[in-house]
Amino acid sequence: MTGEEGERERSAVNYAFIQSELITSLTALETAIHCALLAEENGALRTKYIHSEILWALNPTTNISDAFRRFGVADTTTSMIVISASKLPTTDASYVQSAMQSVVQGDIVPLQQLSTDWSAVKKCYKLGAEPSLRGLSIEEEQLQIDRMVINNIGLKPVAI
Amino acid sequence: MSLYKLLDASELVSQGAEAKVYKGFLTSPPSQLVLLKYRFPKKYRHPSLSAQLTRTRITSEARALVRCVRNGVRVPDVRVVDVESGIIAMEWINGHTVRSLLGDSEDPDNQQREDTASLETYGVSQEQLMILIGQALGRMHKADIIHSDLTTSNMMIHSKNGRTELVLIDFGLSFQSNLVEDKAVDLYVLERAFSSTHPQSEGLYAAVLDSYATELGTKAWITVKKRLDDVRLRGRKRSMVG
Repeated sequence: MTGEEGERERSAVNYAFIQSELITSLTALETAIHCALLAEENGALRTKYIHSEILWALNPTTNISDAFRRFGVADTTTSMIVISASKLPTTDASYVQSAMQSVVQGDIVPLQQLSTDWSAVKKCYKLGAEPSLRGLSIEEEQLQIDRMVINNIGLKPVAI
Repeated sequence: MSLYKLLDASELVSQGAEAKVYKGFLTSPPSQLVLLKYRFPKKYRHPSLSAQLTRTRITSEARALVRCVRNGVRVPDVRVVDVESGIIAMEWINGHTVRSLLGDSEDPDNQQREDTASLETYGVSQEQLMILIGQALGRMHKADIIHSDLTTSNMMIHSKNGRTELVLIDFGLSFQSNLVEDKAVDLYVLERAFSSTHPQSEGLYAAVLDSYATELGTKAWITVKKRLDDVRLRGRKRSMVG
């Protein structure tokens, strides 16, 4: 769609839609958001928009379409995280929330209620053979995976 | 540009010749504490050289930290790296330095805070602490990371969710090397630091080496041990003759 109509349609879904299974923790998500904000501020966005940059920051590789495929939503998605980033200081959170609700059919739940698919995370970030994961209990392993994911995301801007 | 603004809102914790360390938050409303390490531009250097050095140092520090995480060495998590402004944001470790816990009253970390703690607060004995140190160093060296500034002030103890961990900090001088020489010198530097800051706890360092040896494996340990003996005789610097 082009022209005014296209603009309107696009602004209605001007959010980052993220597949929630691959998100290990709030800290991991925050780290990706911070990296995207910083890139925007430094004029160093690698993708077109701040919202796509968040997906890119989460992805372990530098391929943009790969990031969308892994972290973006698909027809089969049942739980997702919707993020709005805006520079306007007056943006009202409750207004944003109702605008989000008008484009997504579903219920809002606290982040802790979304479950993480740990084996998919391991596969996505290629953590299967990490020496630090050997001989850990399930709980410890999840903590350690989360830690490695956070560090991966945080390091990404300088890792390439 | 953006991370500079964060510095204004943060509290200056300490300042060295290379960098300033701040304590602050990345988010508002504040959630998790972070440590901001700001490598400020050096006035005595040409601006472009200063920027270049800051850039490489900040990158190598962040990489070393992540390499440690992947190899099971507990270090602060890297949160945001901004090479443009020379700022690296990492997890705030809420704990005490090993230096203060081993009873060094002159430790600046001990002097500026009220909540002085002892090893009992963390539920570890001196011997257990030495084992933790040796284990961390062993893992780090197995991953070919040389810290280069091992002292008891660059090690912290902290408790999270009922578990006590030893955290290595300050990888500003670290580099990667698989040479036995570098590993032996790393151990030697810590040995000297132990005997000068904690003269009363002599003999403790042997326990560190024991646990280091276990972590490293006998074969690798024998070569490091041999070289460490050499280093002890000649000092940190290798003879430049020849």
